Amino acid sequence: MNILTLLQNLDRRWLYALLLLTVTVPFFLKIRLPVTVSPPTQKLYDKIESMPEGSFVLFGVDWGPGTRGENGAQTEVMMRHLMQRKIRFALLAFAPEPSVLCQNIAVKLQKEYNETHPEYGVQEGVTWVNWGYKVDQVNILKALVRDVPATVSADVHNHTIADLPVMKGIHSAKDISLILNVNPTASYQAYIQFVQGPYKIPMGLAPTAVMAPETYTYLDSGQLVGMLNGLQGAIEYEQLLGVIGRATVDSNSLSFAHLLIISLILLGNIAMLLERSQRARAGGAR
Amino acid sequence: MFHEAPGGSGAWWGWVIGSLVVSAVFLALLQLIPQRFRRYVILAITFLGGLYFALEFFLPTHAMPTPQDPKAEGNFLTPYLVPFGNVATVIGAWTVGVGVLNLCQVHGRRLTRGGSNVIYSFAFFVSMIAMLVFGLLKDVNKTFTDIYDLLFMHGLNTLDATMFSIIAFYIVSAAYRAFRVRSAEATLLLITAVIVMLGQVAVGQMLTSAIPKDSMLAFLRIEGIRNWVLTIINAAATRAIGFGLGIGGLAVALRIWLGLERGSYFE
Amino acid sequence: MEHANLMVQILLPLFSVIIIAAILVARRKNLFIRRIQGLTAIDEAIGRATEMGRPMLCSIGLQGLTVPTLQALAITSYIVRNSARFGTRAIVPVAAPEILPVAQEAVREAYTGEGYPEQYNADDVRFLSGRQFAFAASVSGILVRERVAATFYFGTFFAEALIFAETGNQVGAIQVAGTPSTSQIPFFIAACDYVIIGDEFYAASAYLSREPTLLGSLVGQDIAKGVLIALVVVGAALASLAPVLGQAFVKFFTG
Repeated sequence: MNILTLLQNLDRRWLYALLLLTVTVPFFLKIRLPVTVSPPTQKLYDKIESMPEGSFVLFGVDWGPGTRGENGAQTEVMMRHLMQRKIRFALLAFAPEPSVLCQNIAVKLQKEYNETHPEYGVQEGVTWVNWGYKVDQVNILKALVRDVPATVSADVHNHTIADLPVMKGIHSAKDISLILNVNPTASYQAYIQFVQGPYKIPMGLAPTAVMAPETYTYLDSGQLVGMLNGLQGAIEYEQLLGVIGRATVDSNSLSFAHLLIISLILLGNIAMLLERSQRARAGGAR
Repeated sequence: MFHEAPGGSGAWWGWVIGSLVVSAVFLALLQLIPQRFRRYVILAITFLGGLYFALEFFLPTHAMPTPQDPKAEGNFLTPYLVPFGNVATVIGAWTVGVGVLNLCQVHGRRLTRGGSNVIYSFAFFVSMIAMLVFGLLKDVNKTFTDIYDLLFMHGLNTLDATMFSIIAFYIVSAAYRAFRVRSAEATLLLITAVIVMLGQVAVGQMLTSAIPKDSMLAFLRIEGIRNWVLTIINAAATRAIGFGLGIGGLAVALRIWLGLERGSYFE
Repeated sequence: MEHANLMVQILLPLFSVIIIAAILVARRKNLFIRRIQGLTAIDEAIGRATEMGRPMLCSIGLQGLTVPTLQALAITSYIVRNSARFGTRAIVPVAAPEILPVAQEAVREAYTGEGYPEQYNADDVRFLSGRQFAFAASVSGILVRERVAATFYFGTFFAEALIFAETGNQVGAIQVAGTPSTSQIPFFIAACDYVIIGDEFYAASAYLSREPTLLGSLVGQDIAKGVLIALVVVGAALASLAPVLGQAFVKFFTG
């Protein structure tokens, strides 16, 4: 087998080994490359930045441990912004894992901000609440928009919603200022169909990079005010906030992994084209 | 007709037991229907169910204010929307047991028959029983809570994340194998993919970072080209596919609703 | 939206009438349908599995009783019927428990309809897991252990699509895929041999069975799409003329 054929048919185990190195080694590099903030991320940032203190955000979290790398970073950076702006938010999950995972993120950020920025006044039950895991997304959203306290009667700690300071003045969808949804699947469409659309509430979305291309139609139509495109969107958002969070730490790995894939694709194609021209010359020489 | 009874009260138990009895009687009656009439019963129930939701969606609405939502609108079918939706959820919940029963049957047969793959069936029973036991007992004491956390948070969730991570490896091998310049369309696809990937990351954006953002040539910055590809070309194509899928979905739903669907399952 | 606005009240019944009218016309006339390579390849894939003496795997996606899943089941029934006469084994993994009895009934009916009820094996139509990645791991395991020769992925898929598509590629199976999940189409194109895109998925049952009702529905869909294209062109023209005609005119159409 000549070198050109070999380059076109590299054993996949070599490819996997290269990827493993490409993803892990950059964690130890301290370089921080600046990124250009894309318009969808900028729009979402500007929207939250323009909201008055004390506004209420419905923060739908529908991701699991599988997409924690992207969606976890997106959730954390948006929570940071809401906490910094003193905007109230309620976490709502339609699977058991995100309720627990996002509770952990919120508690971690609360502890961090109470130590570094007590002026933000971050406190569970006062500035944020976790409504927990609810079954049947469509029916819950349809009921929620009409009567929030009746639909979500208690939070994850079994405290009555109506008694919590964070829920003061929140009765129906009309009292929600913004919807945020971190979602690796297409179930964000239920939020658009049953909450954003009928009540014209602005909505921001944080899908995984795989799902992002199909959400640009909603951005274009104005149904979404902004979007975080996968981990890159979280990186851009952290740059806007001026924090070095988990997304920025992962950004080098993301960059070099992309470069690896492009390099391998180009390598395979160059080898294929060279082999073709070799065969053509050999055929012409005869 | 639909109102809540306080949980655990006599009325609540009455509703639960009454519903179970009525459901059992209803299922028994369904079993008594002769085979040749069952298809018509299914068609009738499908049609009536679809008719309710279609009418609720299409019928004109009027103001139906509530204390919480003074501007609520609806028609005479709207108050029953959530309760009827809950019926579908409850029926769906009964099927959870079907899946577990099927798994136990399949793996139970494998365990009794033996063979090379019996170890996987054994692992299935061990993990299912462990999750069941420690899931039910997790609030009894700290030891059980810790074991449950170990199995769920550190076991199951980590395995989920691992499987998702495999996608990264697979996309490398799939892209390396599939993105070959075999035709004009493949070449165009390759060039577009490379531009979008480079425009997505910091290292790629550095390639054209020398072009000032406010200059005449700013459109050549790679992140700008990437945004243009995603918002113009990609959005148009996605929208077009979406139109087709929407119409196709409408057609299939219409056929099922009206009993016009054909195929071995529907006849 | 919670209730239909004016445009939906006009368009949805219009499209429904068009589709039903086309169905009625199709019962009296022969209708043409163009070749869809991915669907033609189904028979080729079945033939290959039969020659190699290895089983096939037919995945109907991750969702429960939804329109794409029922469509995927219709395609799976066709595959099973065609493979029955060659005695080729078909494994049908299921991810949603509510679809399990439906899938079992469909596969059993397919074998019985072809006159081979004894080929139905209840263990081959089984529930794996409702969790996305547990299902993907299970399907990958089946592909490797059973050395599947042909795989068919029809239905709604999410991120796990590439996991079993690439595993199928690694075991050398011929793979045919079709999904309404737009985001997964690129992964199927990279890993599978034949992919049907967009609404070809909903055309599949008509294409495979050539049943007049289904063909008529397909023609009705195409007419409805023609109406949509016309509306897009008119809408684009009106939006361009908005400064002249006024925003109220445009708002009438956009709602």
